[in-house]
Amino acid sequence: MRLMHLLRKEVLQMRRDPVILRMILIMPLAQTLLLSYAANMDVLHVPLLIVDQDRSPESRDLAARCTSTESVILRGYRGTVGEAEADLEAGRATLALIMPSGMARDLERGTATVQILADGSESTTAGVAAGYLSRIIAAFGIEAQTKQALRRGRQVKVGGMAAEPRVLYNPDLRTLWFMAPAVLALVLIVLMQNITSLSIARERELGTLDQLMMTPVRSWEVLLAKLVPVGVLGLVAASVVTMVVIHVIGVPFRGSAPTLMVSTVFFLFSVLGLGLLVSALSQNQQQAQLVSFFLTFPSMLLSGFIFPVWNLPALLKPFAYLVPMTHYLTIVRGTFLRGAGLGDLWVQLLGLALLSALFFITGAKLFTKKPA
Amino acid sequence: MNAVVVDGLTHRFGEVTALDDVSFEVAESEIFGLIGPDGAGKTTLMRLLAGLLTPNGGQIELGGVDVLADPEAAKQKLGYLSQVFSLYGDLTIGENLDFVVEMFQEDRAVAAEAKQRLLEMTDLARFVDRQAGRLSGGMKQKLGLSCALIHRPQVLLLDEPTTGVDPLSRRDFWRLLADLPGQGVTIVLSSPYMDEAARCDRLALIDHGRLLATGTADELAARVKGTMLEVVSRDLPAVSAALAGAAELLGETTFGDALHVRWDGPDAEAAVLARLQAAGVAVQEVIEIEAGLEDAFVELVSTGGAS
Amino acid sequence: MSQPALVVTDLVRKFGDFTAVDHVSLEVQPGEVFGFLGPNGCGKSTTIKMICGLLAPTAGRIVVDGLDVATQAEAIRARLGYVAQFFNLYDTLTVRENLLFFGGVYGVPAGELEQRVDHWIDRLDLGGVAGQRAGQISVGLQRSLALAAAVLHEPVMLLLDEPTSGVDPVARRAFFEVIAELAASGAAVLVTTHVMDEAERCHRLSLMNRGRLVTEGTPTEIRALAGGSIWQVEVAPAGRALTLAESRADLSAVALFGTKLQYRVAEENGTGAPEAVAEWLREQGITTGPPKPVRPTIEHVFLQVLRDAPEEQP
Repeated sequence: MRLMHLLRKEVLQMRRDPVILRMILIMPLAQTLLLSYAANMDVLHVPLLIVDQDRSPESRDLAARCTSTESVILRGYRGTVGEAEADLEAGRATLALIMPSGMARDLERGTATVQILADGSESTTAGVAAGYLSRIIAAFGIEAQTKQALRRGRQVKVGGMAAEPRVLYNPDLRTLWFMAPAVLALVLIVLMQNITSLSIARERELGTLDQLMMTPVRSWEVLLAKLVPVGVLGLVAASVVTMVVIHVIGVPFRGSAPTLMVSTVFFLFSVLGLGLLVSALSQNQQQAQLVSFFLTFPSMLLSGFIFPVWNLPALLKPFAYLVPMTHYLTIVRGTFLRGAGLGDLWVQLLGLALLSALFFITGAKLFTKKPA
Repeated sequence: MNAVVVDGLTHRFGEVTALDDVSFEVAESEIFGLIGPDGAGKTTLMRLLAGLLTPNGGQIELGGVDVLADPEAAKQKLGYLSQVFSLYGDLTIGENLDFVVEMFQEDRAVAAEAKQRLLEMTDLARFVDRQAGRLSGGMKQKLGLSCALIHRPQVLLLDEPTTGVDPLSRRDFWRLLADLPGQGVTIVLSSPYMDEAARCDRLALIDHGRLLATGTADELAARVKGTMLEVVSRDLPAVSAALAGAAELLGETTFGDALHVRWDGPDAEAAVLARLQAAGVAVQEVIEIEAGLEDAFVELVSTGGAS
Repeated sequence: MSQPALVVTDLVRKFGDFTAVDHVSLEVQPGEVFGFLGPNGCGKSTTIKMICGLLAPTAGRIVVDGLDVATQAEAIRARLGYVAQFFNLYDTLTVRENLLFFGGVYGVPAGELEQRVDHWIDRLDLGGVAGQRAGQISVGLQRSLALAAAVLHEPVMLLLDEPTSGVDPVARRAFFEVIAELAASGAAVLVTTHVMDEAERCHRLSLMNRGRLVTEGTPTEIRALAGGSIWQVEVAPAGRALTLAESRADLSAVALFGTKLQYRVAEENGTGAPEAVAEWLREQGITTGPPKPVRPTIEHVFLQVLRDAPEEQP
């Protein structure tokens, strides 16, 4: 009964704030498109130099293969390593493939070495492109050895040695596919946490909180009433963003929609809970917004959005699990790319449920106590 | 010479006419009060005088300067204290004053002397290094006043300067104002408080953007019809009931243990007493009292200034 | 005799070393309008907040309608109505929506809610703005709205913290008429104010200074506390007359009202003293009229009581 009145009030207030409504519907879309493409780590057209000191059919073959990928673009041939280094130094190229004289001969004998020079100041692009090249080179080496072996009628075991990594679920390692679902999570965090973090702080700032707390309402009712309308809008925003991720960005969706929906509800509950907790502890909107802003950093850095959780220092790992985004990322990426179902994701769902409860109950307990 | 001349001033916000053909004059060294209900147009008028709004029609002259033709020259001649605290809460008293001095590009030596004089006058000198945001309401007002006076304006505009300030601080504030006319400063202020209005030399009553009346407090109070009586009784509802329906009854107001009755008839005291006795209502006292400015205000506003 | 609506016993509230409320005790009966006077920062609002349960007391006891605030805060909230010093209803909701909301959360039965909201909109002249957003109506109407929101659930005890600050006399009169009616229908009203004409409208008054209750009584009793007599005389030039009067140690409450100079003469100075002052002013070159006695107001007493108090702290 009281809760209905509280809900009605929140909905009315939200309807009166066209900015918030527009923000909830337009911002996630814009952000998803922007972030998905900006965070796209696929590497294209890295300038490459080739130093062919071997001048053998094999070296020409390898050079041709290396330049056939879209990842690199051939800047030209250089006669010596020194010249290539000078060009790298001057920024005229990012990678150089050096095939020393005797490469073909060494290959015939068993092992041949080629060298890749990379401009470390462009470490990410150079690294990714160098990785592509390594795979091409490795494949080339195996193929060449096999061919030679066959020519000589010898048997060579190569299959077990294959260096080429097989990439599952995202065979082209398209980072867009990997990023877009994660951006869905990030956008929800930034938006929802911000909106809720302002809610109570605004009432405190305007003095309406005093008036409200003078009535027989309970603090959890106030929190719940603030959470539900924003949550519903969040769910709408999440659905819109999901549609865009699938149909516009073209990320395949292999899981079930209900699984994603249920998980998103859990996630929203925890994010909104955290927002309310921040709001309950802030004296004014400015403070709430600042805290909320800084809380998005752990969501990006600890959750696996950028660095995988297993790669975190041992000290930080436990904290990663206090971040709702960590669990949700596993869920979103899992449902999108792997088709994971509720059965595979219950640990993450439980994590989100526990975090939601933690944030919500702490918020309800603390928000009547004014910060001194 | 008149320090302020307002002629035919009209201002509209969209469809709403906030000020409608308002004209008045304020003599030099006069304390002139603008009174009127909320939303009457007092603040709009103050902001127009201060040059913060441009009117849709009419003329304003401050210290002989046409505000609309030469707003910059007018600014030098006027000091303005707005309704809300509009100084920098995180700057100290001294820093706030220095800032205003810099904005007016005052001569430093002259300004330093003015600053010292104002700090002593307002008794703020002891707190010169305290942040303005941490002052009491009364002291904030004094600082606001100092900032409005530091460039030695001829006309001081005060928009509800003591709203929310307690009587003690209000009295202090008014004591400061009392010295200003002697220094050639003309004061125009707005106020919702009648006791404050009573301290002005002359008043203008504004309602719905129109000027209903001007005059001294006594002149305005004299416009109240009938006789004001104070009836003290333990049973005020019975007093009210006994008087209800009398043709002579112009109005009544409850004051805790007393009822103020406005009676339009000869020998009011005796007439009311007789009527109460006839109804069997026990009263302790019925005495004639002077109609106050508040009574005048209420009557003039309710009759649109027609009385 | 019915049970008091509010009993406050030895209430203390400290903020660090600062004692904001110092052993305050008071009682408000049903049907009574109790005025709580005092300068800014004297502890009035702190006391109100403790009665509301918005602030915990350091010591002391508050009983509302027989219920202890410390143990039955929730039950008490439904019996209290509160109008805060600053407008704090929802400014983006309309007048009507605000009332429906507050009536609702206070638990007014759904069947009666609309009817009670309509009644108060009508009684407080809010009909013209019922559909407007609360943030866009005048200060006076906002005050009326806050009052309506506080009385929809028919509280036993109504707490008003400077309810008419910045409100014009017409609106203030209407406001107090409603308060008088509420009291007449049995509600207890506690109102803090430093507007003296509001104080005059209370049944009983208590003056607070620096956290302590200094004096208590009906307005008539309080006025009677004014010592000596207060006089008013026409003077010219007014500014110089004021300075002269202030220089005399035997005069107090010296103030200028336009061209009228007011001063208080102590009783022991004798009956001829007021005229003697005017005579003295004339000797100093001031033009004066005859002194007329002025009825002491509560403000006179208020200032008199506070005059000897230690000076204001920033």
